[in-house]
Amino acid sequence: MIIKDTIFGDIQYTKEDLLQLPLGLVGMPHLTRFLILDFEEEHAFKALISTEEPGINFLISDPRNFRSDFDFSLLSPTREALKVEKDEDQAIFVLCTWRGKFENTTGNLLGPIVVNVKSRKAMQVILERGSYTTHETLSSMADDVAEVRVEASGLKVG
Amino acid sequence: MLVLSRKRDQRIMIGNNVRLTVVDVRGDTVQLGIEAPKEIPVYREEIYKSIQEANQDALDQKMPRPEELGKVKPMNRKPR
Repeated sequence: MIIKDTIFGDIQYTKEDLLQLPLGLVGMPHLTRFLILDFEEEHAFKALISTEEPGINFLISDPRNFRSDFDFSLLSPTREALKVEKDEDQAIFVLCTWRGKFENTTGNLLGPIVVNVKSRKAMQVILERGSYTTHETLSSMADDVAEVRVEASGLKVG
Repeated sequence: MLVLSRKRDQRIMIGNNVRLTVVDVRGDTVQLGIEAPKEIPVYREEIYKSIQEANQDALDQKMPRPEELGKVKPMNRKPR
């Protein structure tokens, strides 16, 4: 199968490459199937690309790039819902908003996406009990971009 | 919209798996208990809407091209 993307051009993929969000994104229930693409190997940001609607793509990153002390325990109920058995089967990323330049990028830590890497099923959750907002700014990285982390590895596609 | 009257401790079933209980009523505040399977997320509407708006904002602002994004390498550490 092939999908046309505004940034990546033609992307060839198979069913196994898909990340499935059966409930869709919050407020966007029609977006249920995505690919995760690397801008380049080991880059701190990746791209989440809809295979259902051409032109729909999101910048994604590790929540710890925005809040280094991100509280993973808040995700336990979601982890159960996704039937994640081991830590290494779980990946977390957040949708980011690019605001013209790198330093201004914000991350939606109130609504992270939890992935069962094995089943490739995922879910966007709302962390009502955390102290996070939908537009956290990048933490401590303006000085040293090498500090930026990447989480979505293990979700390599393409 | 279906409108139902319930007293304290009375319940409403939504389908077979979701149960709402009126836990308490004080003034203009109603406390609801919600029992739903883990796969069915339950949110306050205003928080749901803020996430929806953030998702839309992330889309509207467009993703950068790789050359705009620059080279940002991850830190070496154990996977979580």
